[in-house]
Amino acid sequence: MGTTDGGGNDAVAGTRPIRESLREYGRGVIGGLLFSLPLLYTMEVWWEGFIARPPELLLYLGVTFVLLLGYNRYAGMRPDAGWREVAADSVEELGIALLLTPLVLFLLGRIGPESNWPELLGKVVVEAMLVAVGVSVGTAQLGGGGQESDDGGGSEQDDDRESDAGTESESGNDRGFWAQTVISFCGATLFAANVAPTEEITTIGLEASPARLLGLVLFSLGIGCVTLYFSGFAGADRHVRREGRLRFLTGTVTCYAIALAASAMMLWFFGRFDGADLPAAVSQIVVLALPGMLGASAGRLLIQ
Amino acid sequence: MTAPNSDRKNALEWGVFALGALLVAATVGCLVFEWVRQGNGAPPAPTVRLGTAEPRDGVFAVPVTVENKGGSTAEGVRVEVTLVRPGEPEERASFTVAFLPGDGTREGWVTFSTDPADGRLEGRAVGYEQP
Repeated sequence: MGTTDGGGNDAVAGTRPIRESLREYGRGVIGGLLFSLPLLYTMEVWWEGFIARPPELLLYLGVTFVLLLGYNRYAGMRPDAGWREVAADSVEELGIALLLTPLVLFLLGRIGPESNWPELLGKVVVEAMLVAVGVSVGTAQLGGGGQESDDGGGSEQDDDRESDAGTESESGNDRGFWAQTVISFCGATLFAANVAPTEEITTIGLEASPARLLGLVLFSLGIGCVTLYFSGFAGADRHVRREGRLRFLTGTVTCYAIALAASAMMLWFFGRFDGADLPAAVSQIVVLALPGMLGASAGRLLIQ
Repeated sequence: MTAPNSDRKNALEWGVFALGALLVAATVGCLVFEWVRQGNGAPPAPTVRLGTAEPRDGVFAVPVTVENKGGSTAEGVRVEVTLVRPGEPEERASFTVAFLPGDGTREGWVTFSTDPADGRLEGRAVGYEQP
């Protein structure tokens, strides 16, 4: 790590390394999903996309932008940033949310070829503003050690972290595979339980085509992989094993298996499999496994 | 553009910023356009089109297309189709569209126990809410 990290990409001295920006965006995306997923899985919010009129949506967008400005100014990544940079960061976060939201809404079958323009616009804006706030919080708060090692201000924190890690390793930092599995399961259950008993899981699951479900599986795997291995997420350096070249594949797949198991358990508990055939059961499990995966990856790191 | 005490944006971040600015501007532009286009919002006006019946598991299914020709969304659109035959009682079938956005289209089916080919089908949206 240190100043050489991604240094080869720096065209101009003093710019942030590309790799660090990518990690920040990764954490932004995870944060956006983590904080707004229950709302992406709420039909009243989908309906608001039909109901809200353009002036209301414009006002809503404006208010969100002001919130983002405020948050980025007083609690954001760079507390010393000027208003210009804060405004630029806010625009970036809105942009990420405006890309991420249609993708998730499409995978959940809320928008598609049958949606017309006002409907699409309404649903995306209503959900994206909630996601944008999550992106902002995620970028600023979900980072762990290492990512600030390039600027001088971060070195003190790094020292703290190292000493933390030192004490941790004596008191059970090396939580083994089973311990991590159990904690992942707790995270998945904790997070997916937000939406598990709701009707939305059944609605999305029964309406989804196999292609969209496959897309949802790949999206869940991608999110988990980025969280655990490629975003510098808080605690990932201590709690996620990294040895082995294909470690990120096995780790991600294990995590998804846990998310699927936790989802199946909860859906069974809430009686969602009564009278459902196998495809209907699998669809619902896959739909719930996205929040499950966030819980098993990001949640797991946040609760230990 | 460099703020004091802070590292500068790299090419990737400028790219994301440009994309974000474009998306935000496009969203605002579209919303303003929709606002102007819709005006005060013409009331919802769902119209019903019927297709040809096809036999299916002992019933006759008729495809129905509901289109909202008004500007604003209609909620809980109840579509009712009546099969009228001279000298015989009417047979009714219906379904509900939860949300029908302005200028939007939704598709559904109604079924009848007898072949509608020898009668006359009449479909309309019998009621809806303006949210």
